[in-house]
Amino acid sequence: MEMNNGMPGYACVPAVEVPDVSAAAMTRGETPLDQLPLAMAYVPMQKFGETYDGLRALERGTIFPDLDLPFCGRGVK
Amino acid sequence: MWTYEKRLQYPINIKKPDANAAKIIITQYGGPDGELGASMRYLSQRYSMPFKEAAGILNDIGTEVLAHLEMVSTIVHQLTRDLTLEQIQEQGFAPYFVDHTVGVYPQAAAGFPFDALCFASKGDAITDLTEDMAAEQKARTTYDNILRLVDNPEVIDPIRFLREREVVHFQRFGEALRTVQDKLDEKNFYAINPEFDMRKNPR
Amino acid sequence: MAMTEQQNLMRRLQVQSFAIDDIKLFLDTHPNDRLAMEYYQKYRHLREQTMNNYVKQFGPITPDQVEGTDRWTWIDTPWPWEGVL
Repeated sequence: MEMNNGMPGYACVPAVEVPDVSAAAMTRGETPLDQLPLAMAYVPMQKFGETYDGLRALERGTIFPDLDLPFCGRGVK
Repeated sequence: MWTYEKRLQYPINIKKPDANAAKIIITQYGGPDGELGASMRYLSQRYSMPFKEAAGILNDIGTEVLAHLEMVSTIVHQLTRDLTLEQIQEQGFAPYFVDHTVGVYPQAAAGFPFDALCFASKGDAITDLTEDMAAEQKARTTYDNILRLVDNPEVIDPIRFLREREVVHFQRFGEALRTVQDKLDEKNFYAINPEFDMRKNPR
Repeated sequence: MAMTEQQNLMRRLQVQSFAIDDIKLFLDTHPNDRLAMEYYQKYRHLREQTMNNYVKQFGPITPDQVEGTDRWTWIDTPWPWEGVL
């Protein structure tokens, strides 16, 4: 059912089904940022890499060194 | 439903009372960018989220953050439980004390009480996850500012932990948004709201 | 000041529980990641042992771990906000 009255741009088509979720759908993480669609926010998918040992992870607040991003601004002791 | 474990996620043992620190740290309990608002936001948003990964993140971060409001309240409690009346008056704690003694009550550092207006549950997958990413940044900035203002290592330690959790949560909400994008039409992510236009049993 | 045996074991429980807390969130958005699943299973088993150990020596962590019929020990052990552990 055409809903844009012949105007250029996206033609609205009613969606009635939840699309099938396959593992392949998740691989878009490899696309360079400047090829992704506009007007949307993108965070890179983290890849499982190094992990801290147990106690250090608790002290740092994450098991992932990749996400260990401490605050060093003025006033911090 | 929730189970409760009789432990903190991260140890807190503060020996020296400090009402000044308590007055600002309480904002991460009942303030606009605090843990109570965060928890209610995510737990409210999860019901209408049709995608498994996003629903899982909303459920699990919403749950973890309950343990965080417990930590913030614990910090406030330990900072105030042994205050003398002199300290209460000298450190400007009298306005809180008169209404709450040394009990713990959810309010912002500026004094206004917790309010559900500080969060949204919009019922749109992209909108809610984008709101959640902003919420985690606001929480992180608030912890940054707390770290600028406190001196006691016994307080700084758990605050650093709580701040790092916000960084991790931001990453996970961003990933959840990616998984939602993968299930929408990339020629126009905004053509529909999957929470309403893709329901399994539309009337 | 050195930690007591109870504090020591509680710390181990917190460390292993936290590993699960963090990997759980990663798995929510990466449900097919094998390395992450292996990490999860490793800490799941460690935590189970630590939990059994702790509860046997020092009392319940959840209300369904109270043994016997003499006394409801759930309310006797320190509450987390007291700052004892």
